[in-house]
Amino acid sequence: VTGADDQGDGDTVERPRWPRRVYGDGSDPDYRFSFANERTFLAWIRTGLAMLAAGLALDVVNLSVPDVLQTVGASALLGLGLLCAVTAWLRWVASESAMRRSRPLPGFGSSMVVCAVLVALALTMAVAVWLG
Amino acid sequence: VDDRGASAERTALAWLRTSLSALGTAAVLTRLTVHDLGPGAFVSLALAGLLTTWTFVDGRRARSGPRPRPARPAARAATLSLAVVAMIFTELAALLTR
Repeated sequence: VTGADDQGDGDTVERPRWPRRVYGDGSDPDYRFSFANERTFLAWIRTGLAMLAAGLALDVVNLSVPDVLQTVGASALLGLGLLCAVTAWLRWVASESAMRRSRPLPGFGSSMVVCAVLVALALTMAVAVWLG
Repeated sequence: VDDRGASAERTALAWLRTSLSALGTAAVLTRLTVHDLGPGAFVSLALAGLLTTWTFVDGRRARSGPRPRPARPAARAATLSLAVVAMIFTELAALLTR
């Protein structure tokens, strides 16, 4: 499967586009939609980086809470970061495929999971810091 | 340049701030885990460095073209996802072996 450089900018080169799961079928949507999909991917990556930074911070600072709670909290934040980074990619693939094939955009439950875990963790840490 | 809504430029800037965030986070992460993990702590930093270089090179190429190209970001996006995953496993390794 090859994709033509259909923007007509001179150096038209036929090259296979990866991944085939996305580009193997359908046709290019309005490039602005592809760019928007890309920026959504990047926003999820930055959210994942924020989770990683928060987990890292919780690991290295000394709070007046039990060590095990800091370790569990840091692990939970790192798990959320992992979820964000992996679903960012899967969401990009699924959305780009759907747009190329003129299908409805798929829905994802990952933002709900991230929200729920984050709120639970924030409440737990707040109570622990208050009691400690 | 036909870039309605400046979407090519906004996307290039989003790539830049995300790559630089990843590089900065990787630098701090490496600084904090190198004591526990040794040379392994540098793996994710190297990935983030590669990725930022890639972003700069692609950004220059995109700006030199007469029109915004259709987005073809898959390989770079997959590498970025992988870099974040590598960073998270680096920190998990340091956290759980301490």
